Amino acid sequence: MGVVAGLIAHHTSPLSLAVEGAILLALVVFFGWIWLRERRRRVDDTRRVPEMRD
Amino acid sequence: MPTWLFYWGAAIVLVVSFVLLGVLWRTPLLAARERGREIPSALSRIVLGPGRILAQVVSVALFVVVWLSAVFGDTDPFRNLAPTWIYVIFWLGLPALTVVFGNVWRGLSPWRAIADAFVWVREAGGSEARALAEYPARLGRWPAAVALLAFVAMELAYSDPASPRALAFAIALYSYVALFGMAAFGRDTWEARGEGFAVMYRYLSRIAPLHVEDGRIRVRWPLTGLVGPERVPGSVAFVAVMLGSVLFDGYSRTTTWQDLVARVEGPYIVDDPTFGELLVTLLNIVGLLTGVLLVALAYQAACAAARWTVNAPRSLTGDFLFSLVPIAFVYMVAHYFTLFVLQGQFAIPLLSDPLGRGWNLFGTAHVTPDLTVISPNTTWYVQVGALVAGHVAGLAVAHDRAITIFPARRDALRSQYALLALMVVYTVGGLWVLSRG
Repeated sequence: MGVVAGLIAHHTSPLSLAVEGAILLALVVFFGWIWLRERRRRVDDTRRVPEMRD
Repeated sequence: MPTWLFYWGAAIVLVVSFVLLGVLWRTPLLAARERGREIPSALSRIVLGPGRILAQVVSVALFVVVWLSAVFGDTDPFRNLAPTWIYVIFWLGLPALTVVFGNVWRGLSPWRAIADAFVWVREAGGSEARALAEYPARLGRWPAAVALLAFVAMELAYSDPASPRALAFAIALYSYVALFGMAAFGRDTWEARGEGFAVMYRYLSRIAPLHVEDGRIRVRWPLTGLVGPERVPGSVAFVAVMLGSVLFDGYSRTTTWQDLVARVEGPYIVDDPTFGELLVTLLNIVGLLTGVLLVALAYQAACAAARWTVNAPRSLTGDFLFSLVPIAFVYMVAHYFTLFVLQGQFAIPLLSDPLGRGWNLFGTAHVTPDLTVISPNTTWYVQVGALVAGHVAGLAVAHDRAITIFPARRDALRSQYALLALMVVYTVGGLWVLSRG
């Protein structure tokens, strides 16, 4: 069984495949958006060291 | 509902919880509530005075009974009290008691009770009981991590973990180390640094609504004890052993691992079964260490990413460690809930006949456990519910710490992105392992 076939083998209908795909996509978009935003911010803030308490 | 929907549903619950924490939890709450308020002092005096002495006496008596059962009792694990008592009542029941009533191990540890009695006798005789040596600070909690790893290796890696005779040897060895450690470095020091179970129960007791301070019992909100940093060396390793061992236990029940075990053991099963068992034990140890290492590396990577995100001037590893404690507890609940409920019932008849000699000391020898008391569906819902609740609690603890150490709210929130990703990985990974076991 190929990798892709293995990953979707547990689905019994196209609807369930679409739902899992949508949830995964939402999570990837959420974390991807955070990653891109933070990367950009870090480039801007490289010299800024945040104040910290113990 | 399909299994995969639970994985991603749990991940979404965490993301939503993260957003809600960011919006609604704006000032640190745990530190101000950590101490709680005192319960009536008369009750404290009774529980911590005669109550504790009674608990210590009963605990030592039970310890002796369990050890004698292991040494002299029936070699069939199902007819001997020791395996059920150690792996079910002690290993699974005590954590549950601890998160409700606080650090009960302080009163139930037989080694502490023996050491207390020794000190009491010496002091009554006019001598002072002092530690023999200063504990090397650089060792931190590494001895405790090694001790706990040794116990879980015996349970999960050794080919015959329920063998009463093997348990008798393990109890004797652990007792020697525990008593030697207390004599050498002092009771409190060894319990805080070297005694694996004591360290584990101390961590778990931080979840509890009851705690002892200055000789008084105090009541507080659950989880508020998980406040502050944890920078003692070896602490991350210790928590990684707590989490990673349960993870390996789940994975070792999957067909993938069982196939691997069969392939390794297969060629020797007829001609040299002892060698085959040794290979399986080694393979399991490698698997166990891999589980522990994966958990530790994932946590270290999340803390490094959090530090990178906010450009923090120091490591954040010690700051968020307590957020893993509720997760370690719910991993135990999720994996062992059924074992505790089903196998725990066998302790009732075994208490009446601990050595398997046909005795009926308390009239309970013929009690028949009800093995249909929980359905597979109930088990799964308890597992999912516990894992999600534990990870949300972990997120909340880490969030409270973040807004404590970073005065700027923006830095606090940004430091939590990596922790959120870590919690999602732990939750989905934990559910995946559970569903495959």
